Amino acid sequence: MMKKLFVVFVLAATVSFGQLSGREIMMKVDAQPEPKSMIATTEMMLISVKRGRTKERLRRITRHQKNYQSSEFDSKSLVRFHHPADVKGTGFLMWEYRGDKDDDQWLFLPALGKVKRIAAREKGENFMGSDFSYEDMSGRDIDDDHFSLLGEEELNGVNCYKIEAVPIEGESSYKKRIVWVDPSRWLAIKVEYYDKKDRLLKIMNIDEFRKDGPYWTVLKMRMENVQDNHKTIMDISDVQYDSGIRDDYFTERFLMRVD
Amino acid sequence: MKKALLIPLLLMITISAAPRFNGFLQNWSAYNLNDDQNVFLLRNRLRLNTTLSGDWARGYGSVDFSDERQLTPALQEVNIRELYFDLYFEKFDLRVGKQQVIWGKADGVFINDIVNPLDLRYFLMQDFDDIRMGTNMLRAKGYVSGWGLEALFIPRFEPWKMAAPGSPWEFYRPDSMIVSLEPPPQMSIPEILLPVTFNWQSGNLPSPNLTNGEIGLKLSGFILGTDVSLLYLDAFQDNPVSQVTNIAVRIDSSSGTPVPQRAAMYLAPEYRRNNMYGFNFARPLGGTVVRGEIGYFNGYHFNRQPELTQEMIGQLQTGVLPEIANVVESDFLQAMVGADISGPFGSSLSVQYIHKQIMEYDPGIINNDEIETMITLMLSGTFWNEEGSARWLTLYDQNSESGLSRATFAYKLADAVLVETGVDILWGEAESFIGQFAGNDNAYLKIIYSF
Repeated sequence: MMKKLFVVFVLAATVSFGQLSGREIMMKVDAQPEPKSMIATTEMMLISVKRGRTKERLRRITRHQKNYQSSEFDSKSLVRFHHPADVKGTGFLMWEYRGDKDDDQWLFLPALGKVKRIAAREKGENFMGSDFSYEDMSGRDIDDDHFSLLGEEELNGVNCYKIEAVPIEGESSYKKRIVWVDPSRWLAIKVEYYDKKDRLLKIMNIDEFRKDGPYWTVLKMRMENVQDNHKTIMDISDVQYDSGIRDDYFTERFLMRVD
Repeated sequence: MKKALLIPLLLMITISAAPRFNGFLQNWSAYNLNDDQNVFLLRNRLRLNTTLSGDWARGYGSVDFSDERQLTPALQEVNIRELYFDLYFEKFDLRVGKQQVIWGKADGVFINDIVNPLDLRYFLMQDFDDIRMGTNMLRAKGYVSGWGLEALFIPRFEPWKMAAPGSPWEFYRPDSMIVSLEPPPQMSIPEILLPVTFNWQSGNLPSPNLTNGEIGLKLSGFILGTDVSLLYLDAFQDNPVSQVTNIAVRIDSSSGTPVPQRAAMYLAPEYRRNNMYGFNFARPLGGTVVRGEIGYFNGYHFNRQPELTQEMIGQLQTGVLPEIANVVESDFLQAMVGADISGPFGSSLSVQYIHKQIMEYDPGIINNDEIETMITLMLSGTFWNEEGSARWLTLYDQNSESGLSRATFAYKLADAVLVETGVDILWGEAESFIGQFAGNDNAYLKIIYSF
């Protein structure tokens, strides 16, 4: 499942152009080693242009995530908001399950001082007002889409596979996605999102990434909504893998504990 | 003095990090829509929060510096909202100091969320973290196998804070009133009327000793996808009953009729104690979260119409001043069930139904019906990539047909600057909790700079 926030993994394999189907290519992107845990700081710059005036807003969060290999849980994560000041300390706890079971989610609002149980969000909703939707951030199961190889295309000097992904299972807010895959790293480095009327809605570009041990880490990505003239630049830093986060960190006790 | 030194000393020993500050500056102006659009609130406030954090300890303080010159009387105050110290252990946390404890699942109403007293000087116009007042207490919480057991000890009772006389948010509290003393039906004397003088200031707070300490327990966990809590609180009622403190009535020897001796009886607020047993739950069902809470009070106290009993008449005839029975005790139930329904584009609808019931109802009870119900509705949404948000909240009391409706629109001029404007409409019977403020419909503007 391509559902790891901010991190794209790669399988270091040799590439033989022209012999793989769209699905086989996406399976290579998908079938990557998964860290047991991850901690990262993310900054999102939200940029809007209205009547020629540019407005920028900053969001900063830290995210702790633990992935499970053999458990009812797929992952648990705790997101803490640091910026802007009026939401500082807000915490978001999520337990993701294997199979079709809905996520469990809790929100801690320091101003109210209480933990609120919340329902899983609409997949098409924007994440923190950014141009990334919850669907973009969590990804989709590989069996939920039909993949067609459209051909090869050079992107930033790299000869990429160009693949069309059309939803066949599960809900999606898109009619289709066009994905550019770098075959030397098995990274999806550009994605175009089309709305239900098949009009181009958003373009996502990976601008910077690096390899940390067996894992590829995306350091910078851009998502541009071409219909709203709004874009989000996401920077990821202070990434730690497999640092051994305690299981009870992902509980109400730590959700309410603001440093 | 030793205690005063203990906390900073512990902080210095345990915490090596530098203090961090955050907070906001707020200007809040409100215009009365029923009174020639006069400004009736102009409040400037600085909130300063300080945090000192270490791996195993944390100190936190939150202070409001407020200046309000439009309200009657003017208010300039420094209010320490919270000031506490945390110690973290492997399976156990300890928090000592002035703090807020939130036990409820309800929004906008206080069912089981009754650990802290309320600041009602602006009625329900303030944000809820401003309405709830911090209380000095010791709070310990242990964790085992996904369950948490929380224990509270509050050494000193603190009552609700009410608006001062002259404020537009002053609760109706008569200086005097006429009450009827109802003789028992078997007596042939007529009902008599007594003028009553209220002495609001002379209410005695329970003395701060161990016996008067308040105790709370909360067991919380996660079962079958549901958040559940069991609650117990042994505490004083925050809203006092008015106890007759002095009465002078004599029986007219010729007619046998009781008559007021001093033309007055005195009532003063008195705080009574009760036990509350509660249960909270919350769980999602698809895109909806269903939540609820039940609080059962054992021995809740209510004011009732003063009544002369046969025994009291006998006391009067012997010249002894009787104790007038104007306080009754009954078990009391408060319950809420609600749903938060997620809609498209960040919108949501929250609905709550509140039921209150006096279990052994006495028809003489004043200001409370046997069963009271309330409905709340809140519709909210965000737009423009969360630069803008709108909310409509309505509380409706079915018994008194009174309510409060608030519509707000907020816009973020920048990350740090929020402008919020809104309208509060209040209606209902003049004697009801909300309806008494029906003349206070207002439009307001808040400008908030967060740092």
